[in-house]
Amino acid sequence: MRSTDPSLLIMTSLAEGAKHGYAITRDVHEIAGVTLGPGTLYGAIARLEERGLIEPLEADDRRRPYRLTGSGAAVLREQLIAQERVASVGLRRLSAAEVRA
Amino acid sequence: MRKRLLSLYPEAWRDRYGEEMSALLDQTPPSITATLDLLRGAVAAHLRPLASSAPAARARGTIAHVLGCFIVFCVLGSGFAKTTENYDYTEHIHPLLGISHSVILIAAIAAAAALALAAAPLVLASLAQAGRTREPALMKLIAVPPAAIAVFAGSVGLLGLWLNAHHHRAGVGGWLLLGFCLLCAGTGGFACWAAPRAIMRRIDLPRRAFAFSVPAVALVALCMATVAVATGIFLVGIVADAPHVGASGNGPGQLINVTTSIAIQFIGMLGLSALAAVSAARGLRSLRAL
Repeated sequence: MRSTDPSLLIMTSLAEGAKHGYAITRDVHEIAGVTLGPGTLYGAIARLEERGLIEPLEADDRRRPYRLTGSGAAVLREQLIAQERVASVGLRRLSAAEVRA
Repeated sequence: MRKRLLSLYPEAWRDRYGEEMSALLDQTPPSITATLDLLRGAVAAHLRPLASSAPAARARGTIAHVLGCFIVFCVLGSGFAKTTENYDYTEHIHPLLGISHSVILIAAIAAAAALALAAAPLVLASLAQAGRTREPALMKLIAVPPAAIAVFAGSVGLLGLWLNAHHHRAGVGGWLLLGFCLLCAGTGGFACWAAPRAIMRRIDLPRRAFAFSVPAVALVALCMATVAVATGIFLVGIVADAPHVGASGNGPGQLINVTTSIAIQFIGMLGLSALAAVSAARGLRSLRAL
């Protein structure tokens, strides 16, 4: 998953607690500066739900909150650690290149 | 307007996420980006249906998908027919062109016949329910496809009369009429796809109707694939055996040549056949669970 992958962004948002579609969109915009369109958001929600990574809760009026499942949290952790590793290696190499220059 | 776009999503998708998406749209300001995202999402939802959707919804989805593919396929097929309308002599000289053209015609007729077969139980069921319930919305929906076809045929007839009266010199009026024909074709094609889709949601279809219609639309998909392959062979024949024909101008204003026109039609037909085949395979699988 890329760092701007809608699924990863949604799971990162839900790591804080259950949220419905609009709250996820707002949160993702705040943390990543990415605006998820309605089609992209619900496309990703459907895929995550089918893979058992998130689950729906009781609907509040017309809005239905979602939360991370146990396996969703494990997958998210794995993905974020992998990205962190890539990011730290990349930053270290950049710093080394700047020192040499 | 944006909420209307939700109707482009598959039935099972709307049942599951429609309310939530509608609530989200109420909370977000309208924008072109969001509208395009909704459209893109609708296409993606059709290409990747929900695994949890009910077998009947999947079967209805298959019929609607193949019908949609067939309507767009007909547009490309009409383009092919127009491009090759004066090729009798060429086909006589080059047997490959003649044979592939004949295969295209036979498969196209078979596809139309299979579609009529697939539609028959649905038409009968919808007419029976409309007669029984006298539901005005259902009766209006049933009237939409024949009305759309009649308006389109009328517009083509008007264009023909105009061209005959003006000795085949289009002029401004002719171009305006051509634009009107294209508008009627676009809106009529959409109506012929959307109305049966809406009707299928409103009527109670028995299992035996699906058991008949889904294999029939699978046959439509097979015929579409045959037409596409034969069009590819025709294209090869043009390039290999009749390059002088392929190089001649084609289309409005002779903007592209015959080879390019047929290549575009072939690629489009192949893509639509593949979509229809995938959908038909899903529909046939859903029959087992019905």
